[in-house]
Amino acid sequence: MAKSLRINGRQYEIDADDDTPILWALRDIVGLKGSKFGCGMGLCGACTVHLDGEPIRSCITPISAAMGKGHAIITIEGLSGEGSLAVQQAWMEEHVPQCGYCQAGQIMSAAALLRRNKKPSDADIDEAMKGNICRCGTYQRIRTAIHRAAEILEGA
Amino acid sequence: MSKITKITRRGFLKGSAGITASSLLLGISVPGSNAVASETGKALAPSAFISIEESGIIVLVIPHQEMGQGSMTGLIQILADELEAEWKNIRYFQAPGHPDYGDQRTVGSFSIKMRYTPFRQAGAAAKEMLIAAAAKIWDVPVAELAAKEGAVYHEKSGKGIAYGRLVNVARSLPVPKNPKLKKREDFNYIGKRIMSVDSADIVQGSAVYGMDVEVPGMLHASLERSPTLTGKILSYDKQNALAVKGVVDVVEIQGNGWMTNNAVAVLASNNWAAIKGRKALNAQWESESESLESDKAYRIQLRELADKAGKVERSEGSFEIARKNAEQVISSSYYSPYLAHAPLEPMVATASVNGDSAELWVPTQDPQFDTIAVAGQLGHEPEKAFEKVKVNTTLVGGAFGRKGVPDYCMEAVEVSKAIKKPVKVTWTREDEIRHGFYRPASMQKYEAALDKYGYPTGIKATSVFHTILSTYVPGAVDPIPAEMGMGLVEMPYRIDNVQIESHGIKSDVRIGFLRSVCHTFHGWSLNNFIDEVAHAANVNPVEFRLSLLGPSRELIYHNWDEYNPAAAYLNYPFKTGRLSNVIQVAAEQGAWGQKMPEGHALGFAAHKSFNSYVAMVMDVSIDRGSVKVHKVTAAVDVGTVVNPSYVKAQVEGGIVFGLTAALYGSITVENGEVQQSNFNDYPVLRINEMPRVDITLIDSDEIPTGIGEPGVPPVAPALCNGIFNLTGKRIYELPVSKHKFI
Ligand code: FES
Ligand code: FES
Repeated sequence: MAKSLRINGRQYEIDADDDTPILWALRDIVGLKGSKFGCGMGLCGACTVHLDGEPIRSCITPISAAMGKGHAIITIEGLSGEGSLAVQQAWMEEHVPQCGYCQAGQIMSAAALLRRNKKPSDADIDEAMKGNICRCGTYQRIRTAIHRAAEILEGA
Repeated sequence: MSKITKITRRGFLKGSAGITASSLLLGISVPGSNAVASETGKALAPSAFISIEESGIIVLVIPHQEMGQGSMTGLIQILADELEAEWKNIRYFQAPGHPDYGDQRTVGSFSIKMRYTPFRQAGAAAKEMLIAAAAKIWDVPVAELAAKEGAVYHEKSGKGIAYGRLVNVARSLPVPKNPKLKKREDFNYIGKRIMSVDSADIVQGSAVYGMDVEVPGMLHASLERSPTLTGKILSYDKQNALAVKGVVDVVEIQGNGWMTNNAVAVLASNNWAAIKGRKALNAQWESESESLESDKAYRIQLRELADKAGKVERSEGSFEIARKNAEQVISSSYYSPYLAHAPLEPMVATASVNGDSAELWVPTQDPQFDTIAVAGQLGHEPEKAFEKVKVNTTLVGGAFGRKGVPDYCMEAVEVSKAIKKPVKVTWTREDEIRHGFYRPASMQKYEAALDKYGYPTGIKATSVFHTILSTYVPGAVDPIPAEMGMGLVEMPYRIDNVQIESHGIKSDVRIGFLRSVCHTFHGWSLNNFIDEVAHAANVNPVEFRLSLLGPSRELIYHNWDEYNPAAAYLNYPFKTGRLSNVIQVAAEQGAWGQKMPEGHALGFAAHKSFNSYVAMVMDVSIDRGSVKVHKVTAAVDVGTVVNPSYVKAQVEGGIVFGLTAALYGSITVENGEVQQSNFNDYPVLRINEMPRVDITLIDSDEIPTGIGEPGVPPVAPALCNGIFNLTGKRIYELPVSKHKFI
């Protein structure tokens, strides 16, 4: 039986088992490949998307948790609004990405942080971002970029 | 700076954004040589080239891979600078594996180093041809013309003409043999902080990695591999796997007993179904004899070998006599464990085999080696490889040396061959951690003889590990000179009696290149030992290093350079003055010698690797029993800096990589099986552990050298020396997290 998922404002019918993680439904069934696979165990954050506005690890969240009315998934491809754009702009200004593979997840976590905390301290950033691994080691720039995004938003 | 675009091969060949019959094409026929060849017409097969369209669009073909180290952007800056190209008109194209591109490996921190001069010459030659074309059209002397931002100008008359309009005439002109290169002060891209060419795509989630490849008709595969190198399958439940929704096939794959393991592949319409089906296999493997490697016994063996006389790698004077006459003798041994790479994008390869030929799409550090390896699998000699196999490259989601080995490509080819369909083989994190090509576990034993002033009159070092050559030559065991050279035989200190020896020791896991290679363990152990000797001599470790280095000298140890293709045209002596300089700058910037707050201490280390020089001061404390790093101050000399932002990024990343290894990194082996599996038992540094990093780049005219790796080696010793200064405890075994601090 096909299942209905709302992703980036569009409705998708998906033919997969209920336990299929959102990540693999997005990547291999829907064809949205911006969310990445890094560990499959909720340990690295590369797969972070927003489910009903909250950042979640899509590799361990089954589609059954997002099916039906009232649920909505936003991925990196569907990020929109001032806050998100500020994050993406700050990421470019501060030259954050190295290989870039973790960055979709980092940006999703950062955008969620800035939504609930307009002026996060370093400690707030560390707390909100410590679930996102960057093996290339871009952490210092992620901190700077989040502060920069907050600044952009304040000026906006 | 505006965004510039990458074009796909298809787009490139069709000429939509790339080569058309009327473009001006320039190839560098032999990378590293000065030979520049001009071609007109359709795509030729040069090693790296510039193509200028009548529209003014400039296409640059980049032979190396981008995996986060920023060299794609750096190489474009170098080409564009001499060419006087307008940034927004540049398109670039990441080359597939082909011999015409010269050595395409993205390893050894050498992309920028190797291509710097030839790329500048190529850019300058193209510019001179465009200027000559303008001179011809306007009938004015070349000397009165200058190129700037994609156009040629005649100042006297105030005339200007865009590059695109010169292409037709320029194509018929000869290629200048010795194009004049710009002066440093005239650089407009080299040395500038320019955003990496992939950034805009990355932040929007549209960059295409190996993981994101999709080819028509492809299936997804997950492979259950034998836990040991040559383990055989006993049983598995094929029907159970086939019962999983989405699973379409199950096939057995033979390993080659060296690079690849025996495996059972589960094929499905999506990767999750393949993973689920694989679990349903309930595969059982034949248990191998008890004689396979186990951690504890291996360490004892390492230690025993380190105590024995080994193969002599460097010998000056007589260490034995120095020891006899010594006032004081110090001896220590250092153990470093196996390490896995854990790039955030695990291994992944997409392959389509068609009869005796194949096409692949992979994130790789070495598309040429992949091509030859796959061709061999299909029964072709290396000469035929590039006719039969094509390896397309994607953006690489981190590699650190792991993606320079073709095992994952070969596996995908085996599976595609078996099912006669294109297939994408995606590794789980567990697969990546358990089936790696590990940084070898190693032991170094040092002895120093000191005179009555505390100055070392002799030093002896013995290094024991399984050679990385075994990646390429099955059965190889003994370290080779290139490995021993890295950070050990090339030891730059003024000590009269030097004895350096090596031992090989076979391991039952695969050995490979990991970021900074042997510099990681040699750099760690030697820097620690020098610190120990300094303390024994009662001299400040920074002063001690400077006095051991003495006046600036140029040393040449061929051991590493022989294996370093970049050295084929440029020789890089060890300039001890450059090391002394970074030591002084780091010590000053990091306020070495300052009074530290209660519970803090500084550690120091300095190391040259891959022709770049790095020194670090690290501020550490102990927080509830575990080590905390607060700040790292680094001084870095990479010669000419092509892009300061990304040079610094590599040092920041190198520090994170080095801290991850020093604090946590440990792969252990029991009966030939790797014990770790994912980021829970192979942890990596997270943002809450990130120290403040402060980097000073040394401004220099020297030819640029690499920075992908040199940031790593000083990290572990600076950390351990800091821990010693804080606690009085020397770390002789990594990782640090295995030690208790109160
Ligand atoms: S892939 Fe989901 S947390 Fe790592
Ligand atoms: S940029 Fe490579 S993993 Fe974060």
